[in-house]
Amino acid sequence: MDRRSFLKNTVNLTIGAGAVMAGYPKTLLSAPEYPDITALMGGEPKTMFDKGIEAMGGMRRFVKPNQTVVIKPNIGWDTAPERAANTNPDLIMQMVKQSLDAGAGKVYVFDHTCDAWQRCYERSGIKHGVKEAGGTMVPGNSTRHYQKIQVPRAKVLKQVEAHELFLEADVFINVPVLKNHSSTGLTMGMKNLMGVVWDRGWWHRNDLHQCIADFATYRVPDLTVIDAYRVLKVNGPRGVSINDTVLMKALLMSTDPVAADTAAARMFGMDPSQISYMKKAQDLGVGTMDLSSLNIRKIRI
Amino acid sequence: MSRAASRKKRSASPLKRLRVFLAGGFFLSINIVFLDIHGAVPQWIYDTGVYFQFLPSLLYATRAFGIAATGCILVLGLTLVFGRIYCSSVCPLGIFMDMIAFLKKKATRPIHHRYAPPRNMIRYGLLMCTMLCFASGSMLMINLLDPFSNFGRMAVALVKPLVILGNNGAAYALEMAGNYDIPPHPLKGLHLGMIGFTLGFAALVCSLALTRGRLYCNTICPVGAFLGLCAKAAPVKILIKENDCIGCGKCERICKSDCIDLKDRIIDHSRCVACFNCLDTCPTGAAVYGYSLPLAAPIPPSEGHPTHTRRGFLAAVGTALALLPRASEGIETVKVTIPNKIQVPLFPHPILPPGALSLDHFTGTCTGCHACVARCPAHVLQPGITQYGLAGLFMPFLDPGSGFCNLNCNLCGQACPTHAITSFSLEEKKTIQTGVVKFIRDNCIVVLQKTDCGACSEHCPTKAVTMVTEGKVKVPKVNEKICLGCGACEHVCPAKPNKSIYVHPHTVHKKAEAPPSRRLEIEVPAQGGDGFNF
Repeated sequence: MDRRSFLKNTVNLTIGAGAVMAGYPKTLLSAPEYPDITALMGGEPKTMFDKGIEAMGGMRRFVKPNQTVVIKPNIGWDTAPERAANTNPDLIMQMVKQSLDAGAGKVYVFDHTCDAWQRCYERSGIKHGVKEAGGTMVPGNSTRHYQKIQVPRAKVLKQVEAHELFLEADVFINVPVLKNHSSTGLTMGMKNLMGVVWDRGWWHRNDLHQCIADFATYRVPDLTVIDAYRVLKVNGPRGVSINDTVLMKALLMSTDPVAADTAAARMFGMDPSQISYMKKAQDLGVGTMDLSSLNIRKIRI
Repeated sequence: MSRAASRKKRSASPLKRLRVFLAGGFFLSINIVFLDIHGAVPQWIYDTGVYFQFLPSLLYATRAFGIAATGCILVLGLTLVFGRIYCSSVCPLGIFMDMIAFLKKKATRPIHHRYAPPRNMIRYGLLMCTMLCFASGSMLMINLLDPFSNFGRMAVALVKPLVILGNNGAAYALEMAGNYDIPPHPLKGLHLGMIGFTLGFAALVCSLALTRGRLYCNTICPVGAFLGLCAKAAPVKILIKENDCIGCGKCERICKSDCIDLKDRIIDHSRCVACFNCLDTCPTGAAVYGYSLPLAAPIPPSEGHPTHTRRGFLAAVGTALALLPRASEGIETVKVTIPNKIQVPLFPHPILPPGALSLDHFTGTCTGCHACVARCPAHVLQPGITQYGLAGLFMPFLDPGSGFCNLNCNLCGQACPTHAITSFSLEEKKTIQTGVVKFIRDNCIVVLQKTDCGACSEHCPTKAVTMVTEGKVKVPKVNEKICLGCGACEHVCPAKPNKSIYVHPHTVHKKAEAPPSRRLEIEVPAQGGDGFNF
């Protein structure tokens, strides 16, 4: 890890930890009250994002002029958008566009894919959408982009190699797709961060759930946007056919990754307490599973 | 002197220009087949270059009907009429040797050729040996000697890594400026055995090209020997007009095949590769490429029988034996909570690529040119050396250690010039079962450590591997009927030191059953409440 990313990380950690301990955001004195979670239903991905981010305080709340924005969708599989194994391309396209409109200097999009990466980027439709919107697709399958970092608050995953853009980004936005997952039950925000590290096998070998929670302590995404437009209900995370999906037409966003995952799990129809990495992340102070303590905004379109 | 000066001014003849133009086109096309790491070039360019390759097309014809099978017939027809134009204009190895000799000419001075008698015992002996070998079901001789496949292997083992390094260097430089337009490419598939063999072969070919011109093509190459036989009676050929010839000997000195005997005014058309250099060098225009019916056998028949076949065969066996399987992979430091103990069993042969149909079909048709290896986007097809035994020298195999076969991909079938890997449509390919998955329960992380893993099930494209809840964790369960043998589960299985799931290769490929599927759309309204559910 270079000094720059170390400093940035430290600052992030301090802010994150401080905010969690003080029961943010109420104590951030002059800041206006934004919802902790905004949930939308019934619209197209672009519309839902526009309305949702407006409720969250607008894209300018997260992106300042000339900042580098990194958007991390799930592009794990060489499958078409209607299979819902990857994040919706229209949503990503709109997020890139909004980031640039807010004055972002550069918008990068990447994932460390499971299938052959160029095919995933193509078939998911994300490469096309990002290019169209003026963003940059970055390869995630090349070792030299990964840097070794220490994860100070981790129980198991004390060190890991993470993508340099994840480490260096001014603004990091996590955009998973909500889907069934064969080994962890559900994959949402925190699980999606496995796509910014190099050696996932290590996680699988050394208590997967704990590693997911451990890594979530490293850098809390500035915003977690969970795509639930089309949802893979069974046979996840890849899915076998379109029959495995349902059209839910929903979107969730939150600055608290644990709260975002909790709400998404409920929306999916699953008890969040059944997913052990969520509890572990809450115990590490990443966020809260107690939705009743949060300011939630629900929007029907 | 004045004659020499006027010759220097004279530009190349139209025939030679045509030859150089065609050679350039084919050379480029064939190189693209092996070196286009991004798959950026349209398919027809691959297909055109490969279509005319004699031996691959001939092998295709022995296995299947189709356009690809007509290439060899076309080449054969052209050779019967025009001589061995193939060897100078189409064959990538021949063109490569010409380029080496050309560079030597530019750097120092041209090779001084003179007539040499044909080494018929060796060339026809090797040809016969190759044919007998093939007839007995072994591809060994073809795979050692075929010029196209040898060129392909050289390109993949020696040049491709350089292309990748160059590409990655350029990608890195652009990234410094925040540009990611050049995709980096992993440097996978470096096998010391392949590099060693191809380096040796390249050294042989280059040294022959630098000293003796086309000696390889006229002594070792079975395609050259066969086309030479066909060209013997070709009506259109190089002729020396007795009346115009002043006997200066320039044509003999420039002939890269050493096949012009000016003393007796004889040209050995079985060795002439129709390069047309003699036409350009002849000061009086006595050497012409024209039509003449053969009046008499131009070359005295060789005496004796080909007795060198056994020696050639033994040499081939020796070469192959010297190449041991590839070096083991680099040591990585891994943290393993509880190491497992059971070793994955060894199989008589590796996993055959989808479309290979059966071990017999594949090992009886593949020339080991590695065009499929070059095209495979998942890097799962790796160059083999002796994985299929000596008879299957250099044949590629599916290596779950390097990657896994992408469900939505059938590029290897499209790349294969010999039909060793049959080209199937994507829908057909998705049902090919190259092997079946086997689970070693006592090696599995979930069973040993009681912590969730499930990497195998995550990657399985048909959900032949599912996770079944046992207490607090989920344990893999396999359904062999819908398994494709793609190797995804084996590739990602993080268990150490042994895999806990692996593909058992089929000797004859089967058809996998379709995965069960049930439409879920109706379940949506069951959500209740405001729909948000929280």
